[in-house]
Amino acid sequence: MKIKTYFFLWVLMFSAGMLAAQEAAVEESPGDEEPIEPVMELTYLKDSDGNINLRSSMVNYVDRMPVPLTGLEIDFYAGEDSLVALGSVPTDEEGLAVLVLEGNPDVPLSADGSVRYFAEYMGTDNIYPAEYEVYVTDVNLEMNLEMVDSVGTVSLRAYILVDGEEVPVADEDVYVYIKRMFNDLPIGEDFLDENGEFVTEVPDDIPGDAEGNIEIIARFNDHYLFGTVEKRQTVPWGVPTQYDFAVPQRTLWTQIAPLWMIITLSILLIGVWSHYLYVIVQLFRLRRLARKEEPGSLV
Amino acid sequence: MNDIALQNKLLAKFKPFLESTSTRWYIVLVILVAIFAWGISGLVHQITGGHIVTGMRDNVVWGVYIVNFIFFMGLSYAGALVSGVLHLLNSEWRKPIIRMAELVTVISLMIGPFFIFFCIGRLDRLHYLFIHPRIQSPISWDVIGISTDLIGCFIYLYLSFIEDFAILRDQQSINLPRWRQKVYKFLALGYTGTPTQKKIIHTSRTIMSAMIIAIAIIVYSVLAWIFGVTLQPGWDSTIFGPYFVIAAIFSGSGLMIILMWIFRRIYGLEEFITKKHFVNMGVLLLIVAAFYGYFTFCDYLTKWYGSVKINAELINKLFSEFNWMFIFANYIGIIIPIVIVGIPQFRTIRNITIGAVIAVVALWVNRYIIVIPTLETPFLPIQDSRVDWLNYAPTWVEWSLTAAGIAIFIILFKLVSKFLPIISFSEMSHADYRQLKILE
Repeated sequence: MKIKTYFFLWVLMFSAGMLAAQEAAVEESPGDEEPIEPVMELTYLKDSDGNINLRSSMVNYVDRMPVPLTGLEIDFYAGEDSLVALGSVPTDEEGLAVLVLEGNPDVPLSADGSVRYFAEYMGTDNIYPAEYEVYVTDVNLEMNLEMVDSVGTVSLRAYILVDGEEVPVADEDVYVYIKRMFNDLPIGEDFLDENGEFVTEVPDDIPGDAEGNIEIIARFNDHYLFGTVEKRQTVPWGVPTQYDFAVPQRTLWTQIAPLWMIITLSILLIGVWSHYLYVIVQLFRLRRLARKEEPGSLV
Repeated sequence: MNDIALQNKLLAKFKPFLESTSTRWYIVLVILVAIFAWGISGLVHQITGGHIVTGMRDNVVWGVYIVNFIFFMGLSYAGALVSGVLHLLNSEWRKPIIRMAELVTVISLMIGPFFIFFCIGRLDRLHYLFIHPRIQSPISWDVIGISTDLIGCFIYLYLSFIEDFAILRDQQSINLPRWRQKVYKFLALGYTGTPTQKKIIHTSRTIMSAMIIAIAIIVYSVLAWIFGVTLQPGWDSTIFGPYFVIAAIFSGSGLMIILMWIFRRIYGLEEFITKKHFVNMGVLLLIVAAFYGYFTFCDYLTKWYGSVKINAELINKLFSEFNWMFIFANYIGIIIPIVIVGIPQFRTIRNITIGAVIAVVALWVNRYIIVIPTLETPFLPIQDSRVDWLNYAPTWVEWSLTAAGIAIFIILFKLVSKFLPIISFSEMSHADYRQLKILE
């Protein structure tokens, strides 16, 4: 019986550990796995400073879920027949490679005046090559912010350059937002008129920062011709907001403890020490009683 | 057996140990003193060389010392809870073991805080805690709590000794040196067992039992809050207070079983400390193990599910670098005692003691994996901190002082049990006061 008992305990003690160790020891055996077939995308953004941001993403779908592919070298080009190398960027932890072209890069135009941007991944033994292209027509978006009859007014004008001439962009959808903490707040959206212009008003009850600053954004949103093009500007048209923290800011150098803490500690200490004192007094009484009373039984 | 006969039997049983000292007793004492002295040499080395001789560095500022501090304090509070609850519940089977619980309480409480002193870099500023106390600081709560608890436990222990001092003062069968008789006489406070004196002792013990239970819970919660009120990963938990209290009872119950086994063998107390006592304490260990396992699971589950990055890093560390320690502390240390006590066929004295040893060691390891991995997972690396400084490994100095702590615990237990029997005469030999009152 004893042997059985100890054997059982021994097995119980070590089985849990062995299970964990086995789990840790399981490694993926190198097999003949198929190379990864990456999914590539390329987007175009012309930011407020006129810089062009080419943003390429590389993911691998596992169980229909995208898994970012990191550290892959993405080559960016412009042009159709004769490619102009723009640069190479490795993908980051999110599988993104972003190439920023400052100012007006010298890129070849296609017959219709657009530019072909092209991203390519050359591939390895483990990952198939991938490529993606977008055609973008360079558009200029101007934003003018002014108070008209005490109302904040946003005036937009968009045009393209054809042989050095400004040609208004008409009948294209443009959006106006105010930047918020999470998503941008849309305050206006319409088609540009024949002059390539659009005017909208800014509501006067938008909370801003402590000085009432808000950021206005005008944008072509992932446009089929222009990609994403935006203008941003900060104006003091919001309602100044003072953030009042409900929790008092505690500091290490506070002179006095909170009242609740002093009261709680006092109750506890008085409660405990009064009982101690009572018992100590009883011990002194014990000695006095020994002199007064007849001895009793110790049992 | 009537009360007088039982008392005489106990006196006869302990007579050889109280009258004379065996060579074996001295040999064990010398070995323990040697271990203690080795620890002191380590302390001298630390004081002269600075804390660089320990494994503690800028990131991991708390090491084995704090683990020992929490562990010993846990044993103390568990002793207080066990003895206090058993006294209040007036359970008959408590009588032979209640003194052990009381001694665990006081001796652990005397040793534990010394590990804090070893941990502090500037001991010369220690008195600032008393002359410039800040009520807002959990460290101040701890200082107030531990000192209050220590005084309360001493009073409680003394109350339980008074009747035995009186019995030893009045007995004729044991030949004791004159100085010891004088000491017994002085400490007995003239107790002669009059009804009023009995009432005073009983009332005072009941009050102090309730007090030390409350204080044990509060003070060990305060100790837990030293961790819980910080924003460190793994420590910032609302259940740390009750979790620590449960863990303390778990380790304390285990230690009680180990002590019962040791003293039963040394003094041949098979007649007084029976299998029933081991099973009863084992059942307590089982219940507390189940609660302790539940709290552990709750704590880690919520941290894991929350997916806060720093908590995820900590849990990854626990399941990789500290894998075996985690499995031992939180699986083996819980399951083995439950299985041993839960299955009647395994419920032998030896098996229950083995389960208790595993529980106590597992609790020490549990404290280690609460303290060290968290400090090895800082929110921000300290500037210019070397990689090898981030990982903590105790040095011989820390292990020496740990061994010294255990040695002095055993030494104090030996000395007290030499001066007073480890089984309370008064508890064993008289019926409960409340029963006497009814009979009257």
